[in-house]
Amino acid sequence: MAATAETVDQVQDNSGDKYKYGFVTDIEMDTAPIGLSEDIIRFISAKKEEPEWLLDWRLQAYHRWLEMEEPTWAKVNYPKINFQDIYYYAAPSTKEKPKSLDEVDPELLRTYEKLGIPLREQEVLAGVVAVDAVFDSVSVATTYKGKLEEVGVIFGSFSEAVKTHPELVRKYLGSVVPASDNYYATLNSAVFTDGSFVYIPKGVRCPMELSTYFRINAENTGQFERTLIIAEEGSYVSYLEGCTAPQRDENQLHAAVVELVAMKDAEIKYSTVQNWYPGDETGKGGIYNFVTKRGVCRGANSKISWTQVETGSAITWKYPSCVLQGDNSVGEFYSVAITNNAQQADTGTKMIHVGKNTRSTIISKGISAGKADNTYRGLVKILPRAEGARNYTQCDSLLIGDTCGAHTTPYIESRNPSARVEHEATTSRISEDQLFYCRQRGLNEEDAVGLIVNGFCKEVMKELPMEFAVEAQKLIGISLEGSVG
Amino acid sequence: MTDRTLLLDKIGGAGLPTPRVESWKYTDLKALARLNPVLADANSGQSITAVPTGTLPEIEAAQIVLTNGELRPDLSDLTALPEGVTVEETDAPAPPEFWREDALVGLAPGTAIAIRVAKGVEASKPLHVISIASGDAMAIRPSVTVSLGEAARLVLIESHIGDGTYFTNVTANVTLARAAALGHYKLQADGRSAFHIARTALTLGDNTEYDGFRLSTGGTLARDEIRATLDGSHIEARLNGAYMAGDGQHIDTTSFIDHAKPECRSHQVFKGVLDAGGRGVFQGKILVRPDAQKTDGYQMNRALMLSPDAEIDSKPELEIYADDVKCSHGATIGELEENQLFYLMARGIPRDRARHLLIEAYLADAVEHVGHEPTRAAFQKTISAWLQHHDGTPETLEIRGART
Repeated sequence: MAATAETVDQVQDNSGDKYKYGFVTDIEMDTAPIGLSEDIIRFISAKKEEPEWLLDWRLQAYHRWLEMEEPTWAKVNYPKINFQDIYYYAAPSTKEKPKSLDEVDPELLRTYEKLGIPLREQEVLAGVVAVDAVFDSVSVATTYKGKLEEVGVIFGSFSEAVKTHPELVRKYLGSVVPASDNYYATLNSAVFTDGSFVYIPKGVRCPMELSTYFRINAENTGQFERTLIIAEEGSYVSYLEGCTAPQRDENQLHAAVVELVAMKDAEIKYSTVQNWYPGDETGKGGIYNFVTKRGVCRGANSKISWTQVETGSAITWKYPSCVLQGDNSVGEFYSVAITNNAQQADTGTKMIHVGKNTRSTIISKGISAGKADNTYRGLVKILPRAEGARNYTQCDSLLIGDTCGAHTTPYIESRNPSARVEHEATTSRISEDQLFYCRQRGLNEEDAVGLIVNGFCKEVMKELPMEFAVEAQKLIGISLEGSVG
Repeated sequence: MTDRTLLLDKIGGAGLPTPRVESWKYTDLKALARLNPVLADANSGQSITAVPTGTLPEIEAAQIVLTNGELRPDLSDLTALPEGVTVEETDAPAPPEFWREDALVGLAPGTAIAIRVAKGVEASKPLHVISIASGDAMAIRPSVTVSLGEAARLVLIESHIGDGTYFTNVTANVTLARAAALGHYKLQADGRSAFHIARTALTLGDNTEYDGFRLSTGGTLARDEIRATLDGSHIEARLNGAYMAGDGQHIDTTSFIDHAKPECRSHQVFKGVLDAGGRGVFQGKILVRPDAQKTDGYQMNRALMLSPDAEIDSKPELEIYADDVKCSHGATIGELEENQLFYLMARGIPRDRARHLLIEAYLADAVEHVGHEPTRAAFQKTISAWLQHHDGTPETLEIRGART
């Protein structure tokens, strides 16, 4: 497969420079004063010219957050975060909002070019992906808006949606992840800055993949984005999300909230390639990725599918979940989580079966190398009304080296006798036989590992849209660099 | 009545564990706190004058009988003790490090029944420890320590029965020296209103073999917690079990296998049957420490749901720090296959009988691992009896002399 060959090339190309997105864009920034207080929230809200109700919503969340305790149940260790030592708002300074791409700071355009994200529509060869680019706290550009508007799809930054479609935002914001859901989601509700908003009207199949590219640039900044996707009856959308950050010695916090709503017969496919800066070999620096993602299948026969490739971040703490309310609704979770060096990941999913004949599939592949710890944590819950519910879970862990850890913690709760739940988990390592076989055919050890790992993850990778699959395969090779020998 | 110490006073401090503690997430002891039983008096068990028959595994064995947690030499058959096996009351060992924090461990009595098998002794006859309880709002604390010397062999059966709203807090400490082999089979058939909370700590040495099976059918709330430390190489540990809950029963099985040394094998199969109002909990964890290379760990929990108001909560866990290992676990939840029932009924077998056959076959997978043949047969009988009982034939347990 060509992509596999590319993985090999990539590994060789990057032998000197492991995290190629580690550069900093030198651009003039507008920031809020450091720290968190009611004033900062008012500042963010004012900056975004938000309506009163949204400010109230933020403040309520903030007061709630002050009373909450930081959760400690995940299998991750990190020094206590000083929430007063973070900038909650940072944006490239502009006198006025750019009307077209030509007015966007060329430095910003160059940044996205360097990241491989073309923002100029004519530069996109296939022209099949619309991109919303989020730089620190604000969305800097959204492509193909016109084309999408023709079919009635609303795609753009969250702040803009608050202005143009306040009724939709107000109706759905917090309807899936309530403001008081958990510590980080509540913090996000108080201080979220930007993110993407997607609305697919009834019966529309979104004509192109939608994509958001998140970039943390400023120092000591937290990124708190909020994404809301609503798929009306009979609609379909595929949404991709990518993330990178500069290489810094300090840890940076990223606490996002993603809410998905799928109505009757609708389908949302949500794919993530998470490549935040993971820190160096000794565990210095890197992003704390504490994210709450949840989708609700509200209508009958709806479907939500999460696919994630998690290669970055010093710490990953996220559980993209599905609440299967509608009868016959389907939830899927496909995940590859790779941890190397000192990275820690505690990730998995929750499948809550509420409606009849709801089905869920969980495929999780955890790869651990170096001194990393990788935990799958998941919940499958069958409620009494979920007649005929079905779940299949498979969690495989691969250990590379004897100083890393791989853990599996599933919770399985069933209250309906007609439900069928199956869970399987295995732990293994790359066998000597497999390595020997590849080496014999002339591959060096690192390439052989890349090949075997890509094979191990194949079930998940095939769920990714084409554009992302190649990228993700490359990332896997890079992430595992230096893990053998 | 000399001393009337209430359970919660004795425990003091933080009180009973609550569902906020991760390992007690699914088992709430509120009802036990409400009962707040009195610690049983030294001679409270004397009213029990005979060992009831009918519910115990009928196995030819030497017998150690405890009534309300105290050793009863008069009911025990110590003369039949296999040679090289000694039984005495000793000071209870200090609770293992991993349970120090647990309030219920502090409840263990100051003395324990110590069973020792000398080095090289192969006990010809099984040893049956029977704990009988009778009384209301009373807490009893049977405590047993078992140690097998080098290359010693023993079959140990542990039975728990009783009637009343009592609470039995069971402590068992088992230590196997190098190359020893123990068959350890437990029946928990405590009274339907009883609380049974048991902790079994196993410490296994080099080249030992542990063959365990536990069947839980009794109690209104029961928790059977096993912690096995594989503290040697080339250990073979089989820890299987079955639990059957109906009528508002809550049965919790919690196991923790600690692979501390290389080249050991652990195998667990637990099967649950949940009938009307029954709730099953299974929490199983396999820990493989960095040194424990070449570990082979397997764990399976299957639950069969027979009724719309049954519930199962399962949490199988793997925590692995060594790379050259083979570890897997699985969990399944489902109901009886309608087409299997149909197959049997089409051959003239009545529906109830067909159901029994299928459930027995389903449980056989766990029971058939019992290495000691007569015990296996006895457990199979107990399972059949439970199924009968659940179809309307009431099971009565009369404890002679206990109540007049």
